Amino acid sequence: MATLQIQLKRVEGSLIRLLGLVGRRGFETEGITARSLEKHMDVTLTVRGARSVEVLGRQILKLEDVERVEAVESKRQ
Amino acid sequence: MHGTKAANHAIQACDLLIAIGVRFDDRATGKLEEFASGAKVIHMDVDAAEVGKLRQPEAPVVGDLKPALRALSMELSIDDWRKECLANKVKHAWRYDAPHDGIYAPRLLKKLSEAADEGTILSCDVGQHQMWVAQHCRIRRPELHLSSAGLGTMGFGLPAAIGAQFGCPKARVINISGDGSILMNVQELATIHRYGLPVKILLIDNQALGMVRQWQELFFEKRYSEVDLADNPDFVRVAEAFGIPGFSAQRKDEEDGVVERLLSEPGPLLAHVRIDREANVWPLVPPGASNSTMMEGAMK
Repeated sequence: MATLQIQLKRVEGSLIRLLGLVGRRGFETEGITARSLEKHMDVTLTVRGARSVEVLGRQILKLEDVERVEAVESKRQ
Repeated sequence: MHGTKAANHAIQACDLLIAIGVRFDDRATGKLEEFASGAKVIHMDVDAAEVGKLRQPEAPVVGDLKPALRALSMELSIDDWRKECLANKVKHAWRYDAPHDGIYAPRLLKKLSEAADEGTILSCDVGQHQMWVAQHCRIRRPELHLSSAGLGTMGFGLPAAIGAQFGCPKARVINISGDGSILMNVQELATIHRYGLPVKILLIDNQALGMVRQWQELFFEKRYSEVDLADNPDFVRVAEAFGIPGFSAQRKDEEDGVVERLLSEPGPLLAHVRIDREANVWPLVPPGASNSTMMEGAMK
Protein backbone atom coordinates (compact mmCIF):
# COMPACT_ATOMS: atom_id res chain seq x y z
CA MET A 1 0.00 0.00 0.00
CA ALA A 2 1.19 3.48 -0.69
CA THR A 3 0.06 7.03 -0.23
CA LEU A 4 0.10 9.79 -2.79
CA GLN A 5 -0.29 13.49 -2.12
CA ILE A 6 -1.64 15.24 -5.17
CA GLN A 7 -2.35 18.87 -5.87
CA LEU A 8 -5.06 19.28 -8.50
CA LYS A 9 -6.35 22.31 -10.31
CA ARG A 10 -9.99 22.87 -9.47
CA VAL A 11 -11.30 22.20 -12.93
CA GLU A 12 -14.36 20.24 -14.01
CA GLY A 13 -13.58 16.54 -14.13
CA SER A 14 -10.08 16.75 -12.68
CA LEU A 15 -10.77 14.45 -9.73
CA ILE A 16 -12.57 11.87 -11.85
CA ARG A 17 -9.71 11.80 -14.34
CA LEU A 18 -7.25 11.25 -11.52
CA LEU A 19 -9.23 8.36 -10.04
CA GLY A 20 -9.82 6.88 -13.48
CA LEU A 21 -6.12 6.89 -14.25
CA VAL A 22 -5.23 5.21 -10.96
CA GLY A 23 -7.72 2.43 -11.69
CA ARG A 24 -6.63 1.97 -15.31
CA ARG A 25 -2.99 1.71 -14.31
CA GLY A 26 -3.77 -1.34 -12.19
CA PHE A 27 -4.19 0.13 -8.71
CA GLU A 28 -7.07 -0.10 -6.24
CA THR A 29 -7.97 3.11 -4.45
CA GLU A 30 -8.18 2.10 -0.80
CA GLY A 31 -8.78 5.55 0.68
CA ILE A 32 -9.21 9.14 -0.37
CA THR A 33 -9.41 12.50 1.28
CA ALA A 34 -9.82 15.72 -0.62
CA ARG A 35 -9.77 19.30 0.52
CA SER A 36 -10.83 22.18 -1.69
CA LEU A 37 -8.99 25.47 -1.64
CA GLU A 38 -9.74 28.42 -3.83
CA LYS A 39 -8.04 27.27 -6.98
CA HIS A 40 -6.67 23.91 -5.96
CA MET A 41 -7.73 20.64 -4.49
CA ASP A 42 -5.39 18.75 -2.18
CA VAL A 43 -5.95 15.04 -2.51
CA THR A 44 -4.49 12.25 -0.41
CA LEU A 45 -4.87 8.83 -2.03
CA THR A 46 -4.07 5.47 -0.53
CA VAL A 47 -3.58 2.89 -3.26
CA ARG A 48 -2.79 -0.80 -3.47
CA GLY A 49 -1.23 -2.50 -6.45
CA ALA A 50 1.51 -4.78 -7.66
CA ARG A 51 3.24 -2.17 -9.78
CA SER A 52 5.62 0.60 -8.91
CA VAL A 53 4.03 3.57 -7.16
CA GLU A 54 6.86 5.72 -8.39
CA VAL A 55 5.86 5.00 -11.98
CA LEU A 56 2.21 5.66 -11.10
CA GLY A 57 3.24 9.02 -9.69
CA ARG A 58 4.94 9.93 -12.98
CA GLN A 59 1.86 8.85 -14.91
CA ILE A 60 -0.37 11.00 -12.68
CA LEU A 61 1.89 13.97 -13.26
CA LYS A 62 1.12 13.74 -16.98
CA LEU A 63 -2.50 14.71 -16.35
CA GLU A 64 -3.11 18.28 -17.41
CA ASP A 65 -4.78 19.26 -14.13
CA VAL A 66 -2.20 17.78 -11.80
CA GLU A 67 0.26 20.30 -10.41
CA ARG A 68 2.21 18.25 -7.90
CA VAL A 69 2.57 14.62 -6.90
CA GLU A 70 4.40 13.09 -3.99
CA ALA A 71 4.49 9.33 -3.53
CA VAL A 72 5.12 7.75 -0.18
CA GLU A 73 5.59 3.98 -0.12
CA SER A 74 4.24 2.92 3.27
CA LYS A 75 3.48 -0.73 3.95
CA ARG A 76 4.19 -3.57 1.53
CA GLN A 77 1.14 -5.87 1.62
CA MET B 1 4.56 -11.10 -32.28
CA HIS B 2 4.59 -10.96 -36.10
CA GLY B 3 7.99 -9.40 -36.56
CA THR B 4 10.56 -10.81 -38.94
CA LYS B 5 12.70 -13.77 -37.91
CA ALA B 6 15.87 -11.80 -38.55
CA ALA B 7 14.70 -8.93 -36.35
CA ASN B 8 13.73 -11.24 -33.50
CA HIS B 9 17.05 -13.12 -33.76
CA ALA B 10 18.97 -9.85 -33.64
CA ILE B 11 17.14 -8.60 -30.56
CA GLN B 12 17.38 -11.89 -28.72
CA ALA B 13 21.11 -12.15 -29.42
CA CYS B 14 22.24 -8.57 -28.93
CA ASP B 15 24.26 -7.33 -25.96
CA LEU B 16 23.10 -3.73 -26.21
CA LEU B 17 19.56 -2.67 -27.04
CA ILE B 18 18.98 1.00 -27.83
CA ALA B 19 15.24 1.49 -27.34
CA ILE B 20 14.15 4.80 -28.83
CA GLY B 21 10.61 6.01 -28.24
CA VAL B 22 9.19 2.58 -27.51
CA ARG B 23 6.92 1.37 -24.74
CA PHE B 24 7.94 -2.34 -24.48
CA ASP B 25 4.47 -3.32 -25.60
CA ASP B 26 3.72 -7.03 -25.15
CA ARG B 27 3.13 -7.45 -28.89
CA ALA B 28 6.74 -6.40 -29.40
CA THR B 29 8.43 -8.08 -26.45
CA GLY B 30 6.73 -11.45 -26.18
CA LYS B 31 7.54 -12.91 -22.76
CA LEU B 32 9.02 -9.86 -21.07
CA GLU B 33 11.46 -11.76 -18.86
CA GLU B 34 13.04 -13.33 -21.94
CA PHE B 35 13.05 -10.27 -24.16
CA ALA B 36 16.61 -9.28 -25.13
CA SER B 37 17.67 -11.13 -21.99
CA GLY B 38 21.37 -10.82 -22.77
CA ALA B 39 21.28 -7.10 -23.39
CA LYS B 40 21.93 -3.95 -21.49
CA VAL B 41 19.30 -1.36 -22.38
CA ILE B 42 19.53 2.32 -23.22
CA HIS B 43 15.93 3.55 -23.13
CA MET B 44 15.41 6.96 -24.68
CA ASP B 45 12.02 8.66 -24.45
CA VAL B 46 10.59 12.10 -23.90
CA ASP B 47 8.11 10.61 -21.41
CA ALA B 48 9.55 9.86 -17.97
CA ALA B 49 6.61 7.60 -17.16
CA GLU B 50 7.56 5.15 -19.92
CA VAL B 51 11.18 4.69 -18.89
CA GLY B 52 11.50 1.95 -16.29
CA LYS B 53 7.81 1.05 -16.53
CA LEU B 54 8.29 -2.49 -17.84
CA ARG B 55 12.02 -2.95 -18.35
CA GLN B 56 14.68 -1.42 -16.12
CA PRO B 57 17.19 0.23 -18.42
CA GLU B 58 20.85 0.39 -17.52
CA ALA B 59 20.84 3.86 -19.02
CA PRO B 60 17.57 5.83 -18.97
CA VAL B 61 17.66 8.93 -21.18
CA VAL B 62 14.60 11.10 -20.66
CA GLY B 63 14.09 14.14 -22.83
CA ASP B 64 13.99 15.48 -26.36
CA LEU B 65 15.38 12.89 -28.76
CA LYS B 66 17.05 15.27 -31.19
CA PRO B 67 19.83 16.55 -28.96
CA ALA B 68 20.07 13.19 -27.16
CA LEU B 69 20.58 11.26 -30.39
CA ARG B 70 23.14 13.75 -31.61
CA ALA B 71 25.06 13.47 -28.37
CA LEU B 72 25.04 9.66 -28.55
CA SER B 73 26.08 9.45 -32.17
CA MET B 74 29.37 7.60 -32.54
CA GLU B 75 31.18 5.07 -34.73
CA LEU B 76 31.04 1.48 -33.53
CA SER B 77 33.33 -1.38 -34.55
CA ILE B 78 30.69 -4.06 -34.89
CA ASP B 79 31.22 -5.18 -38.50
CA ASP B 80 30.98 -8.88 -37.68
CA TRP B 81 27.67 -8.35 -35.93
CA ARG B 82 26.37 -6.24 -38.82
CA LYS B 83 27.37 -9.01 -41.24
CA GLU B 84 25.62 -11.59 -39.09
CA CYS B 85 22.42 -9.54 -38.97
CA LEU B 86 22.41 -8.90 -42.71
CA ALA B 87 23.08 -12.56 -43.46
CA ASN B 88 20.09 -13.48 -41.31
CA LYS B 89 17.99 -10.92 -43.13
CA VAL B 90 18.85 -12.53 -46.45
CA LYS B 91 18.45 -16.07 -45.10
CA HIS B 92 14.95 -15.32 -43.72
CA ALA B 93 13.79 -12.97 -46.48
CA TRP B 94 10.07 -12.96 -47.24
CA ARG B 95 8.90 -15.29 -49.97
CA TYR B 96 6.13 -14.39 -52.35
CA ASP B 97 5.87 -17.56 -54.42
CA ALA B 98 2.62 -18.76 -52.87
CA PRO B 99 1.72 -22.06 -54.57
CA HIS B 100 -1.76 -21.12 -55.76
CA ASP B 101 -3.51 -19.03 -58.38
CA GLY B 102 -5.42 -16.85 -55.99
CA ILE B 103 -4.46 -13.43 -54.72
CA TYR B 104 -1.66 -13.57 -52.15
CA ALA B 105 -2.21 -10.58 -49.88
CA PRO B 106 1.45 -10.05 -48.84
CA ARG B 107 2.49 -9.97 -52.48
CA LEU B 108 -0.31 -7.60 -53.48
CA LEU B 109 0.57 -5.20 -50.67
CA LYS B 110 4.25 -5.28 -51.54
CA LYS B 111 3.48 -4.52 -55.20
CA LEU B 112 1.11 -1.72 -54.24
CA SER B 113 3.55 -0.02 -51.89
CA GLU B 114 6.48 -0.28 -54.29
CA ALA B 115 4.52 1.16 -57.19
CA ALA B 116 3.08 3.99 -55.13
CA ASP B 117 4.87 7.32 -55.02
CA GLU B 118 6.78 8.40 -51.96
CA GLY B 119 4.06 10.67 -50.60
CA THR B 120 1.34 8.01 -50.63
CA ILE B 121 -0.47 7.67 -47.32
CA LEU B 122 -1.47 4.17 -46.25
CA SER B 123 -4.00 3.74 -43.51
CA CYS B 124 -5.05 0.35 -42.31
CA ASP B 125 -7.61 -1.20 -40.04
CA VAL B 126 -7.07 -4.08 -37.59
CA GLY B 127 -6.33 -7.72 -38.04
CA GLN B 128 -4.35 -9.93 -40.38
CA HIS B 129 -4.25 -7.30 -43.12
CA GLN B 130 -2.81 -4.84 -40.62
CA MET B 131 0.06 -7.23 -39.92
CA TRP B 132 0.67 -7.80 -43.64
CA VAL B 133 0.80 -4.04 -44.24
CA ALA B 134 3.40 -3.66 -41.50
CA GLN B 135 5.41 -6.63 -42.78
CA HIS B 136 5.27 -6.17 -46.55
CA CYS B 137 4.54 -2.54 -47.40
CA ARG B 138 7.59 -0.53 -48.22
CA ILE B 139 6.78 2.73 -46.47
CA ARG B 140 9.44 5.34 -47.01
CA ARG B 141 8.24 7.76 -44.36
CA PRO B 142 6.86 6.09 -41.22
CA GLU B 143 4.55 8.99 -40.45
CA LEU B 144 2.62 8.17 -43.65
CA HIS B 145 1.62 4.77 -42.29
CA LEU B 146 -1.55 5.33 -40.25
CA SER B 147 -2.30 2.41 -37.98
CA SER B 148 -3.98 2.04 -34.63
CA ALA B 149 -1.08 -0.36 -33.92
CA GLY B 150 -1.32 -1.89 -30.45
CA LEU B 151 -4.58 -0.09 -29.70
CA GLY B 152 -6.16 -2.44 -32.23
CA THR B 153 -9.26 -0.41 -33.07
CA MET B 154 -11.26 -1.93 -35.89
CA GLY B 155 -12.98 0.84 -37.84
CA PHE B 156 -9.96 3.14 -37.58
CA GLY B 157 -8.88 2.95 -41.19
CA LEU B 158 -11.59 4.76 -43.10
CA PRO B 159 -11.88 7.81 -40.84
CA ALA B 160 -8.10 8.00 -40.64
CA ALA B 161 -7.87 7.98 -44.43
CA ILE B 162 -10.55 10.68 -44.61
CA GLY B 163 -8.64 12.86 -42.15
CA ALA B 164 -5.43 12.30 -44.06
CA GLN B 165 -7.07 13.27 -47.34
CA PHE B 166 -8.43 16.49 -45.84
CA GLY B 167 -5.02 17.23 -44.37
CA CYS B 168 -3.10 16.40 -47.53
CA PRO B 169 -5.49 17.11 -50.41
CA LYS B 170 -2.87 16.40 -53.08
CA ALA B 171 -1.67 13.10 -51.64
CA ARG B 172 -2.84 9.69 -52.73
CA VAL B 173 -4.53 8.12 -49.73
CA ILE B 174 -5.25 4.41 -49.59
CA ASN B 175 -7.13 2.64 -46.82
CA ILE B 176 -6.31 -1.04 -46.58
CA SER B 177 -9.05 -2.85 -44.71
CA GLY B 178 -10.56 -6.23 -44.01
CA ASP B 179 -14.10 -7.50 -44.38
CA GLY B 180 -14.48 -7.40 -40.59
CA SER B 181 -13.09 -3.92 -40.07
CA ILE B 182 -14.77 -2.16 -43.00
CA LEU B 183 -18.26 -2.64 -41.58
CA MET B 184 -17.32 -0.92 -38.31
CA ASN B 185 -17.30 2.57 -39.82
CA VAL B 186 -18.79 1.86 -43.24
CA GLN B 187 -21.09 4.88 -42.90
CA GLU B 188 -18.02 7.05 -43.54
CA LEU B 189 -18.35 6.12 -47.21
CA ALA B 190 -21.04 8.80 -47.09
CA THR B 191 -18.46 11.34 -45.93
CA ILE B 192 -16.14 10.36 -48.78
CA HIS B 193 -18.95 10.79 -51.28
CA ARG B 194 -20.25 14.03 -49.77
CA TYR B 195 -16.88 15.76 -49.93
CA GLY B 196 -15.73 14.14 -53.14
CA LEU B 197 -12.60 12.75 -51.46
CA PRO B 198 -10.46 10.62 -53.78
CA VAL B 199 -9.81 8.05 -51.02
CA LYS B 200 -8.99 4.57 -52.32
CA ILE B 201 -10.01 1.47 -50.40
CA LEU B 202 -8.30 -1.87 -50.76
CA LEU B 203 -10.63 -4.34 -49.07
CA ILE B 204 -8.98 -7.69 -48.37
CA ASP B 205 -11.82 -10.15 -47.94
CA ASN B 206 -11.21 -13.57 -46.39
CA GLN B 207 -14.82 -13.93 -45.26
CA ALA B 208 -13.73 -14.10 -41.64
CA LEU B 209 -12.50 -12.25 -38.58
CA GLY B 210 -9.16 -13.57 -39.70
CA MET B 211 -6.90 -12.84 -36.75
CA VAL B 212 -9.31 -14.44 -34.28
CA ARG B 213 -9.90 -17.36 -36.64
CA GLN B 214 -6.14 -17.91 -36.80
CA TRP B 215 -5.83 -18.00 -33.01
CA GLN B 216 -8.78 -20.36 -32.71
CA GLU B 217 -7.11 -22.61 -35.28
CA LEU B 218 -3.71 -22.58 -33.61
CA PHE B 219 -4.46 -22.29 -29.90
CA PHE B 220 -8.03 -23.45 -29.40
CA GLU B 221 -8.00 -26.64 -31.45
CA LYS B 222 -10.13 -25.13 -34.23
CA ARG B 223 -13.09 -24.51 -31.94
CA TYR B 224 -14.26 -21.75 -34.27
CA SER B 225 -16.70 -19.34 -32.75
CA GLU B 226 -18.20 -16.14 -34.15
CA VAL B 227 -15.51 -15.67 -36.81
CA ASP B 228 -17.36 -16.79 -39.93
CA LEU B 229 -18.33 -13.88 -42.21
CA ALA B 230 -19.52 -15.99 -45.12
CA ASP B 231 -22.68 -13.87 -45.15
CA ASN B 232 -20.83 -10.64 -45.98
CA PRO B 233 -22.70 -8.14 -48.10
CA ASP B 234 -21.65 -7.52 -51.69
CA PHE B 235 -19.09 -4.84 -50.91
CA VAL B 236 -18.98 -3.43 -54.44
CA ARG B 237 -22.73 -2.87 -54.32
CA VAL B 238 -22.38 -1.31 -50.85
CA ALA B 239 -19.83 1.18 -52.21
CA GLU B 240 -21.97 1.90 -55.25
CA ALA B 241 -24.95 2.54 -53.00
CA PHE B 242 -22.84 5.32 -51.46
CA GLY B 243 -21.99 6.65 -54.93
CA ILE B 244 -18.48 5.20 -54.92
CA PRO B 245 -17.32 2.99 -57.81
CA GLY B 246 -15.94 -0.44 -57.04
CA PHE B 247 -14.68 -3.66 -58.55
CA SER B 248 -13.74 -7.18 -57.44
CA ALA B 249 -10.73 -9.40 -58.07
CA GLN B 250 -9.62 -12.82 -56.88
CA ARG B 251 -7.00 -14.26 -59.24
CA LYS B 252 -3.24 -13.93 -59.12
CA ASP B 253 -3.24 -12.52 -62.66
CA GLU B 254 -5.50 -9.71 -61.48
CA GLU B 255 -3.07 -8.41 -58.84
CA ASP B 256 -1.27 -5.99 -61.14
CA GLY B 257 -4.58 -4.64 -62.42
CA VAL B 258 -5.72 -3.93 -58.86
CA VAL B 259 -2.53 -1.96 -58.18
CA GLU B 260 -2.80 -0.11 -61.47
CA ARG B 261 -6.37 1.03 -60.84
CA LEU B 262 -5.74 2.07 -57.23
CA LEU B 263 -2.81 4.20 -58.27
CA SER B 264 -4.14 5.75 -61.45
CA GLU B 265 -7.86 6.36 -61.13
CA PRO B 266 -9.00 9.76 -59.92
CA GLY B 267 -11.82 9.90 -57.42
CA PRO B 268 -12.83 7.44 -54.72
CA LEU B 269 -12.64 3.74 -55.48
CA LEU B 270 -13.21 0.43 -53.71
CA ALA B 271 -11.05 -2.52 -54.78
CA HIS B 272 -12.62 -5.65 -53.31
CA VAL B 273 -10.09 -8.44 -53.30
CA ARG B 274 -10.89 -12.02 -52.25
CA ILE B 275 -8.22 -14.15 -50.62
CA ASP B 276 -8.03 -17.65 -49.15
CA ARG B 277 -10.33 -18.01 -46.14
CA GLU B 278 -7.61 -19.83 -44.23
CA ALA B 279 -4.73 -17.46 -44.88
CA ASN B 280 -2.57 -16.98 -41.81
CA VAL B 281 0.00 -14.41 -40.75
CA TRP B 282 3.53 -15.81 -40.29
CA PRO B 283 5.80 -15.87 -38.43
CA LEU B 284 3.96 -15.82 -35.13
CA VAL B 285 5.30 -15.70 -31.58
CA PRO B 286 2.58 -17.44 -29.55
CA PRO B 287 1.06 -15.30 -26.79
CA GLY B 288 3.18 -15.42 -23.64
CA ALA B 289 6.09 -17.10 -25.42
CA SER B 290 9.60 -15.79 -25.87
CA ASN B 291 10.44 -14.03 -29.13
CA SER B 292 12.85 -16.88 -29.81
CA THR B 293 9.84 -19.13 -30.43
CA MET B 294 8.47 -18.37 -33.87
CA MET B 295 5.80 -20.44 -35.56
CA GLU B 296 5.66 -20.74 -39.34
CA GLY B 297 3.09 -22.16 -41.69
CA ALA B 298 1.89 -22.57 -45.23
CA MET B 299 1.48 -19.60 -47.58
CA LYS B 300 -2.21 -19.57 -48.42
